[in-house]
Amino acid sequence: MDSPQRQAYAAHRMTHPERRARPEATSAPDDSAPYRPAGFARAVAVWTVLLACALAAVFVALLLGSSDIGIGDSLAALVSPGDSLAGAAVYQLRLPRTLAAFGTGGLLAVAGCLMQVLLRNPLADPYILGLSSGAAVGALGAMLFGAGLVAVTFGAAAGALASSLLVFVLANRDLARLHISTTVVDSPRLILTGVMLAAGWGAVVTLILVLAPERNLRGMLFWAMGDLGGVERWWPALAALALIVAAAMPLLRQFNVLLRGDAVAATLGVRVPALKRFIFVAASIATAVAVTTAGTIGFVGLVVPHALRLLVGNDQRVLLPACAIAGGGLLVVADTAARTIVDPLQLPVGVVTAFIGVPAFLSLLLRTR
Amino acid sequence: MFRPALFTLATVVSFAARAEPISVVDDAGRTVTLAAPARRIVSLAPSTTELIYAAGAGAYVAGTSSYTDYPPEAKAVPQVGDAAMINMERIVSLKPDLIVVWSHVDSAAVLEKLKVFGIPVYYSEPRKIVDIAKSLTDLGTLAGTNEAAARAANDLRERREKLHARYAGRPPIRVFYQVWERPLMTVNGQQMISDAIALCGGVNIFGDLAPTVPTVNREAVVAANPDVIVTFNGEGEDGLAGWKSLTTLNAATWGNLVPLSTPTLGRPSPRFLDGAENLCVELDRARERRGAAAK
Repeated sequence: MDSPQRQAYAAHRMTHPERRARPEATSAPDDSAPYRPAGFARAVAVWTVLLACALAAVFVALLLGSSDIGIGDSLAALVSPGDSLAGAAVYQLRLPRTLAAFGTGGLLAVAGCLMQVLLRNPLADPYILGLSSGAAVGALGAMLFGAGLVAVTFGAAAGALASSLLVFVLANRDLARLHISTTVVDSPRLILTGVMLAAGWGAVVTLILVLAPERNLRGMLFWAMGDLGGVERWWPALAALALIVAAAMPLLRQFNVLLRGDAVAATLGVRVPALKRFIFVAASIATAVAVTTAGTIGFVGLVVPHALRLLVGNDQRVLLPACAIAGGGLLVVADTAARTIVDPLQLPVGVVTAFIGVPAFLSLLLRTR
Repeated sequence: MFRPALFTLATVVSFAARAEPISVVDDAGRTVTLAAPARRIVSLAPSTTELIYAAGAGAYVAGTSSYTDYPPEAKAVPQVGDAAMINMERIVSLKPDLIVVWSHVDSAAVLEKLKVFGIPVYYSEPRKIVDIAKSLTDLGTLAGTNEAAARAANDLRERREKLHARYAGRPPIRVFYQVWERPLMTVNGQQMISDAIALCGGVNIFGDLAPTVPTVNREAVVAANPDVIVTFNGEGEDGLAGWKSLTTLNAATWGNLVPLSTPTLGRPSPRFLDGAENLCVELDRARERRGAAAK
């Protein structure tokens, strides 16, 4: 009944009367009514619309493909696969790839959203703390010892997690500390630690590429640009996405308070260090799974949270699940375009996400001013 | 500073040899002229090093590139870096009278700088198997080892002819050559591997694509349904595992997912023929399995 959130809002209204005009403050429930998240109906509406778009994208992705397999054949094969060529294409190639794309896109957008909350920095993206270069070091290191694809994937996962563990240990004091000042950027040490490690990993990658006996730049391409074509297992990304969103859901109200600054959040009863550690770990796992599944796909993690913020506001309770759905949908669309536009050739999916996303985001930015 | 010295050296050598200037046209269409046979050759790619040794001029190699691994004696020669990172001072200090470049490298800026020192550069970029023979005879001419080079070139042409006579006329077999699994890459018809496939009576399913080493999507392979999928696996790799589960793919159901045992198809040198022979044998076995499956 007397949740931290309610205390938070009550205290907040008392200490910041001038902020009452803000949507969060005005829509906060009054004390007599049973608690319900602000604008719950609206949140459900936003999610439903996004989910409908995402499902439509998945459906189209299953129908489009090689020019040798018509849309009609694909549609027929979708209903009854049988032993046909179209059936194999739809169920064995397109479906796993599309599901992996959805999971990866969702993970990247959620990770970007989490990083932007944690660092309170609009430029934060899933890779800002050096995770992708850590994964590249792990993968290339495995290739250096002549390891096969499985070991290389494992190396990438190990590199990504080792990298975030290193950031965690080095910046733990920073995660645990309360920044009393709210006038300057709040997490300078954490972000600087991450950026420095990223630079260091980048140098290690260059060093490996120069010194390696066989400079397999083609293998390196995958880790630099990302590709969903060789996805072996589709479920880890989707499972990780579901788990992370489920774990974050009960905490999203506290995220809102955290965005007001550490000191404010602590005053309002949020256990700031624990919450920050949770965000860091969740974002790291999300990014590690995404990078291991599909390499480093840029743009989704940076822009999807920002675009949605412009559309649905900065209430994390609405925003984070929306990111999971929209990020997944965007990557499904981008990947479908990447494999069909110049069929039978294939474009790097990161290029397509940028081509779709940059104009869309800029027009949104100009329209909403 | 070096120019007068080099000039004097070149003059002395040319007077001593009193020979006609040597001249060949390289694969970039440039005329390379030497006053006397090259005696200090710097090779900037493993493949050109192999070519020089095969042309009988191994004794005159003064510098090689990184990753030089064949022939074994070439490993003892000083290295000057690779195409991406050439150590200019090292090259100049070796006082070469000929630099041999595989032109598929983006070292144009570096080679521009080398022009200042007046060192002749020969570009070798064989496109077809027979072009390897041209590179061999050219290098033999430049190093004055014409006879050895002609023998190597003839040997190469004969081996090619033999394969052609034996395999080129056999029933066509549609081939997907997998260069790399992730991302999925293949070769187009301009690439020398396609020449080897044709030599073995195969048809490259992606021969018509524009890029030399295109990235293709898996579905295009499934739709084209090749008779055989060929790749060279690195150590401990199985790049073909991803195809095994696809039951509509003829190559998978006929047992025609074939790992090659020789890595030399990646290198335009006389050893390319070893790879081509291996490829022809494997494609012929695949042809038999196709025939058995059809019964």
